[in-house]
Amino acid sequence: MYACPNCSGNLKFNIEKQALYCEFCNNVVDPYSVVKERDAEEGDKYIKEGAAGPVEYYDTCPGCGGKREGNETVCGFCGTSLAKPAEQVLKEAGKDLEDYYEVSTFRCPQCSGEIITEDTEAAAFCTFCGASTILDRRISRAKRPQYIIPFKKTKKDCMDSYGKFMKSAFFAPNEMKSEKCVDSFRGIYMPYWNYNTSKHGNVTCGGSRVYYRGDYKYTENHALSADVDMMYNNVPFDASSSFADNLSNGIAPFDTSQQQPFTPSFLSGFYADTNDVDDNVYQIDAQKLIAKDAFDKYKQIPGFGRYGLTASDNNINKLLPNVDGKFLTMFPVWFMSIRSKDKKGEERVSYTVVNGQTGKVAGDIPIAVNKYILASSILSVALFILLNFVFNFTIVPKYALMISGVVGLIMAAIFSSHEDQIVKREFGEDDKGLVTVKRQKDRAAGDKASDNIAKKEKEKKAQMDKMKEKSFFWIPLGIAGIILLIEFTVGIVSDLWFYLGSIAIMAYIVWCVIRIVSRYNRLTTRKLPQFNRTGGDDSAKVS
Amino acid sequence: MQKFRKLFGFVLALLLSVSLFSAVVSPLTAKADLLDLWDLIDDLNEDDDYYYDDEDAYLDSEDGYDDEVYKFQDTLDPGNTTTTGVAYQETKTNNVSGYTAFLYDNAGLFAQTEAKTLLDEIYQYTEYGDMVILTTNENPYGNSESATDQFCEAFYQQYSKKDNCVIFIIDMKTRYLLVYSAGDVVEDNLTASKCSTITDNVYSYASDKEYYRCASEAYSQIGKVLAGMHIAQPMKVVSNVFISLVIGFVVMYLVAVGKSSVSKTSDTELLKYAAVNFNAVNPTDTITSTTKTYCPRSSGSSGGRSGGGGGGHSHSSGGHRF
Repeated sequence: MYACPNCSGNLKFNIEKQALYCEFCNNVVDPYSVVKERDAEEGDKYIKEGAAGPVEYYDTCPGCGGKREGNETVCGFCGTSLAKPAEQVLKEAGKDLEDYYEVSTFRCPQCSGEIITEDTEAAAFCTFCGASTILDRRISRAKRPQYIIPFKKTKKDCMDSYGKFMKSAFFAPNEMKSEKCVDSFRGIYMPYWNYNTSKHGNVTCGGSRVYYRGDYKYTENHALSADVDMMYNNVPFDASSSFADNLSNGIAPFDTSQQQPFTPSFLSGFYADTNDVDDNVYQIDAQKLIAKDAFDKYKQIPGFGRYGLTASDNNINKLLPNVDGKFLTMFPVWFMSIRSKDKKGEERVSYTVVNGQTGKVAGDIPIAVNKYILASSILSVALFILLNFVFNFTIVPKYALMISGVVGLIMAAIFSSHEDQIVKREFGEDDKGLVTVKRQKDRAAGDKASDNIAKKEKEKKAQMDKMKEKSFFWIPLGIAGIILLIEFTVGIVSDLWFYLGSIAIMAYIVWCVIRIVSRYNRLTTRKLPQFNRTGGDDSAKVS
Repeated sequence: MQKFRKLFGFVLALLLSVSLFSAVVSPLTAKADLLDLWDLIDDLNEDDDYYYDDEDAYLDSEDGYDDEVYKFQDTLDPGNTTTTGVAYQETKTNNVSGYTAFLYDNAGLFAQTEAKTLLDEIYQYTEYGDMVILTTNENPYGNSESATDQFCEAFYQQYSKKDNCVIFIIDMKTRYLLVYSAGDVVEDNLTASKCSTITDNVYSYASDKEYYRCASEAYSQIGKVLAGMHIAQPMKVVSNVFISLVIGFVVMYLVAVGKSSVSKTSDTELLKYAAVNFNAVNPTDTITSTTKTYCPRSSGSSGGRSGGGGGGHSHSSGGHRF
């Protein structure tokens, strides 16, 4: 804790005052002027670099010289801790102790999610999987971020932003709008890698011009070159595998011009996620994002506009910048996780996040099926009145069958596309950071041989295929196809069959849409996370 | 098995596409043919060398002739019918309204007594306009469903020419039933939708070769519609219920997903707060290669006829195969 210089009370960062504040004596303190009181002695025993750096142990006990057996963390002979001190681990790895800072890390026994905080309340609730459980606390060291953007939006601001957001979410379940739910927002600093890039030198892109002269078409290919001097600094990508890419993207951007040099006291009163994604994971994404933007500027160079410069990979790659620096920054995010059970009783979690600097909201908002059916039915009745009584609409049975067949196929295609997304998300394949961390863990677990990795990938693909629900696309195709086939080959088919076929296909479409909506809710909720960090307990009960 | 399913799916998808394409294209083709017919009729009207013989309903030309018009006239000539039945043609004019009831059974589908009864039945509706029942074995406009519509159009132009006219045709060549309505008074009630509904309701009689019952029932429903009464449209209601359900559920799904999903931040927005500096100097432009391809360009206006012009009229029709 950070002790108040006046009364030794716990100082916490106050958003309105943008400084540390003592609730007991109302003292306001500059965050850079305080130093954290040293935690228990054991704090120095462990070293941690994000979640990727496992605790290292002596092979022989430094106390009695006894040999370490299996996964012992303490000596079986004399009880001495076998964990290597922080300094030694850093020294062996050739790292500087100054790059790390001491933190209290809480790990959820349910999902292995880790969170850094000085707030002991964190011991009762896991932000990632929503479990109310006693989190395991340990003192560790985390990589020290270079900058931090302190929270600018208070919890009240966050709740107001969320309230506005939910007003337009007509189909959201009512529980998401409840006061209890809204009150569960927690302020978390999320780690982001910031990339500084530049490119200097001559860049040549290919363009072309087409013109006609007489009966001839001329295509001129041009090499358009210029001496480019560009710099893009502070381009952020999230550095936590527990923060979904779509949510991270949804609340972007953060105003990095407001970032300040990091000091741990900014975290007081808040939580912080650990960075477990390597800085090289999103590097190519950052470079491509910058190159695309630079290409748009390149096209605007006077004289280049008329040459149809297309945003081809070839042209964009010519503007890929060099990465000059990568540094860790903490961005403020209000985070809410809601735990629920699906129809099969499986527990799921959905996240809603609010940018703690700008108030922008992004969330997994499920669709309440009952609200959806009610709204669809009302719209259908209104449409029926319009079609039948106002427009006096009549459709030839053959066309009704054709149109319903085509719409049926479109819905089947949408269903299949949804299933692909659902399965990708269930396996964490839609989050680059998570995929990379999982692969690193697999490698660390011993799957070094490429054939083992390939085998695992194959097994995963088979599991993913198995998980996909079938779209039954052949129903509309079969019904419409068979009736039309008879009509065109054998002869006249009674209208009754056309109508029955159309009705069957339309019933399929309605069934398909309801299935899509209920399956869509799997996209807006996630499997309880399993961060695969050592020490997790999958069988732990949730209270 | 997998390959077979894929092939089956492909064939069915192809069939659906072709059907949909033909559904879209055939009315367009019909419209194009109709424009030609308008031109043909305009030409005839402008030609002083032809005469119209009301007696035998025959159109002739002294200096040259048009095969299509002759064929159309031949089709309606009772002497040239090739059916097993007996061709029957009779008209009955309503002196009060000035409209006429036509019964041209050139396909010989009705017994003589049936024909007379039918003529009496349709005569009662002549207060609204010309009422016509046509049957034919020949159609000079082709075999498509639109040919039947063109046939009616030609009849209307040459025999009725009144503002208000209803034609019910049993075209044995195209195997198509059609209710055709022209004129403001008639069209207001007898819309294309109603025409389709009536043929939907009676086509099964034609399929069962009960032609008299088919025509009689069709005119009974036409009469009800012209009198402003309702006719049964059960399938229309059922199909509208399902169409409404489908549109309602699909549209609401799109709305719900739009309101629920996380919106993606654009690339420009992502870089909004990045410190950016972009300078480019010494731009140069070098031609690396030039290709020349022969590509004759059309002049744009090809000198073709501009369709439409004066003299056109609107009509509604709806039909059904049998």
